[in-house]
Amino acid sequence: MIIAAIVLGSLAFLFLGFEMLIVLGIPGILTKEFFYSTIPNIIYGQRIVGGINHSTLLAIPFFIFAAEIMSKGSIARYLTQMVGAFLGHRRGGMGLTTVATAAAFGSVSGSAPATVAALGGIVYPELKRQGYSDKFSLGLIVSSAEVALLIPPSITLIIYAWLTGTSVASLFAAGLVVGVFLSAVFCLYVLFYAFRNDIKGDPRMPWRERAKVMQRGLWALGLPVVMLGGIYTGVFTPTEAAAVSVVYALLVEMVVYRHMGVRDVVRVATGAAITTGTIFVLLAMGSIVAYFITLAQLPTLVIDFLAAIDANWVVFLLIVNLLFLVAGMFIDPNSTMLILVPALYPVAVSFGIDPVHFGIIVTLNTCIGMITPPFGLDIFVAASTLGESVVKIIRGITPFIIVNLIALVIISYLPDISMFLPRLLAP
Amino acid sequence: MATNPDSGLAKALGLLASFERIALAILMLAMVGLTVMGVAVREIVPAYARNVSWVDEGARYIMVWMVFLSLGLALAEGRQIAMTSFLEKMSPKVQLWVGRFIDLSGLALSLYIAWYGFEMAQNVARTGQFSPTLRIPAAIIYYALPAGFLLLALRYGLSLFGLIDRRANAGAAH
Amino acid sequence: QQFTARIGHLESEQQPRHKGLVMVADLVNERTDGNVKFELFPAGQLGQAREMNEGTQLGLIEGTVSPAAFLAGFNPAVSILDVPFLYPADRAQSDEIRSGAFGDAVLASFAPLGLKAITIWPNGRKSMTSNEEIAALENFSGQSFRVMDSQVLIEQFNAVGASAIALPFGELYTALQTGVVDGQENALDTIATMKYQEVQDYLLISEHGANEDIVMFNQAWWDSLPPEYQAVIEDAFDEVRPQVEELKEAAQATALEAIRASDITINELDEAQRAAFREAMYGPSRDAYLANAGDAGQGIVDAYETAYDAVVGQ
Ligand code: NA
Ligand code: NA
Repeated sequence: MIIAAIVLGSLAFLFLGFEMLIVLGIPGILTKEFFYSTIPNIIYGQRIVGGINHSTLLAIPFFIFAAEIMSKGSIARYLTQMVGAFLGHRRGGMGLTTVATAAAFGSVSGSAPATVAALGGIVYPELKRQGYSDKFSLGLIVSSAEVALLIPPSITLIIYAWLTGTSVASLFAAGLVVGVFLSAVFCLYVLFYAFRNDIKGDPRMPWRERAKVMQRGLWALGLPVVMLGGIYTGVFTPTEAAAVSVVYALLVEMVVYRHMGVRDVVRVATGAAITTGTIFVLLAMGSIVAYFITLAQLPTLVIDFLAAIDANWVVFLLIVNLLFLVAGMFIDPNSTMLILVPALYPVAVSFGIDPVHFGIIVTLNTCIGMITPPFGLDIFVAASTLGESVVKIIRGITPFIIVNLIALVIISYLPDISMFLPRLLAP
Repeated sequence: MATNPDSGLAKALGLLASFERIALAILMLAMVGLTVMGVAVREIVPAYARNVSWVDEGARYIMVWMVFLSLGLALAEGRQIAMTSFLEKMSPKVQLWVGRFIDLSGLALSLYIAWYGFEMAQNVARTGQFSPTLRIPAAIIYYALPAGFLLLALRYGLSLFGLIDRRANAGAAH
Repeated sequence: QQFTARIGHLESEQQPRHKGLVMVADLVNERTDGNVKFELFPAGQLGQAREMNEGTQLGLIEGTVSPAAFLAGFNPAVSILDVPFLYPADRAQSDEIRSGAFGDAVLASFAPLGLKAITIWPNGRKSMTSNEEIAALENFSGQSFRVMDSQVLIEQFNAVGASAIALPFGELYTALQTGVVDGQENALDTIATMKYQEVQDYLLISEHGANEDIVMFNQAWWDSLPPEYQAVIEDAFDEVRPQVEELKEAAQATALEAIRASDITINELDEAQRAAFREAMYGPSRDAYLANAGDAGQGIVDAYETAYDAVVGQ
């Protein structure tokens, strides 16, 4: 009864235009006051800070900062010009490029929100210029970033491995296949969209001009080269690579291209700090309600419910999907894993679901949870970094959610997709 | 609706915003600088790597402070995330009253969090807890809450009394 | 009257610490006629170790079982447990030191902090893996190892010419794979669970560090319990301690089999090498400990060295 009132109240606040930080904070406080009143109120202080005091989150402000430098300066323009020079004349070329870049970038950053933040500002104007609708472009950017959690390296898969004792290498192999599969599904959707809406490419560029574009953009091209090279040769971790990319972008914009001065740097740094703040405050406020959901041992209640209805594995996976979609609304992906996997994993095993397959299913669920309305971290990142309204993004993302759900059903009920590569690699 | 730009209040707010902007830029650049310095030391003079083992913790502390210090400025610039599409379709009168209701809730919530955040910080300070690698008082991270949420409360309060028009600024910020 | 303790900890449900806690919870529940209930929250569901320790101290939760390495910021005196080669290889001798005057001195050091530390649980011994040869003392020079945030652990590697680097646990697998760091130290079952053997070439079964867990309750909550319930809880934790160690040893043995199945090169320290490693690492690490822990630390070191000499013999 009280819970229903709290949920309905927050939804009312949401649609009345309350700032999301209020919408997320008040239900947490009310839940505590009604059900956990004996816990000292200083818990709010601990949870709000605890919601963002994670090393793995550091990559996000770094990538936001790097992306804002690149789009205020010239690196972003040169990079898209280079891509355009080779793929711009193909139908759907820019859309396919978005999917491919998100997969490549997401694989190293390991963070879907960081991927949205870093790529969104670069590809969004290009997509619109080529005639993709705003909504389609937003949906494409937000959803193609989600493979960051699947394509290795992935901290989300590592956390799952630790929780369940599953092989990281097998999970990475499965994640690679499923991540690529998902990207391929998005590509198909892009082609379908491009043909149906008759999106014309740019005129084909002659090789001489292509060479000119490449030469002009050489320093810009250095950015992904330095990042990927540094990570794969073990010079730095993905988080550190994010910081290095900021310094590289600053040096190139200030010293080589001279398109930015000290004042510009300060302005961009402030802007990036505010963008980070508007996103992270949601993680911080959301962690209050997440904490009390944990204390209520909600996942255990679900297990009891499963036992009571004597569910089979099809129903079980369905319920897993639903749980993650709801949790992904207001909890970050790694915390979602920590809260739900310990309770669900033994049940999955008892249904004979392979641990690797189950890991991929829950990770994909977590990805989808981050893009489903009303609360989805990636939606808010896009809103804040691209300056678009939440409602517009949600409208744009809806068809992609359907595409995602179809992919989820295929992955869930055709275990061979997840399992063939791990089986091949197993000794 | 908003105050005359020449008034003392407007000047004071402008000054505050300038301080906030500069502080945020410094924190952001420091976070990047520290992390890159950590990589550089590890790669160039590995023998000194143990002397910079506090970099990760330092960057995290800065990040937490940066996030909370940005709250007030973000609200004043109309950048806090909200779903305003439905509100915008309502009559100006409804918008005015709903807007006041939002400002009042925001003011109450930010004061509430600032208060208990401060109490949390004081409690941790009293226990003498130190951060593991930087070896600075762990309470420092919690003082970011009262600081940030008071700046947020200030903006909600000014908006409630019609002294700033935070919604008019939305979009202008981009 | 009913008492409920929310107890949070970092390990997953499959690990010995959690299994031990389940056993204690059952014993306590049974012996207090259901009047004292433990609600267990594994896997860091209630936050990171630092937050759970702080939460226990401030009464946000009632209890936690924390690795000593995560407690240095609260109580510098506890870092004695991070000092390498603190215990002899023999488990029974080790338990004699742990449960005697030395252990009591460590537990007592929590009293001024609002924390009731009731026992030390063993949680295995750390070994080392690396992508470079680590069979002997002189191999370590120039290598880099990931450690938890701890001055003592940093000194432990520094003492043998290696460097210690603090990296988040979640990034460690990839960092080992790409070579950001050469190696790491963990108990064998953690190594096997995280599959570090998939990305490392050498394992040295060194058992150089003891992973010791401090079992703690919020002092005010503890004081609210009737003395007979306090006794029940203390006894239950002591009673289960040997079983936790057995579980841990069994987990380590299973882990070692899994690791042997991979193509990692395995070496083990013999008695003479152990002595040489202790000789190199113990002194500098103890001094790093004393530099942070001050007079309280000196008292604990004295208690330790007396106990060690008495148990191991000179
Ligand atoms: Na990834
Ligand atoms: Na969602």
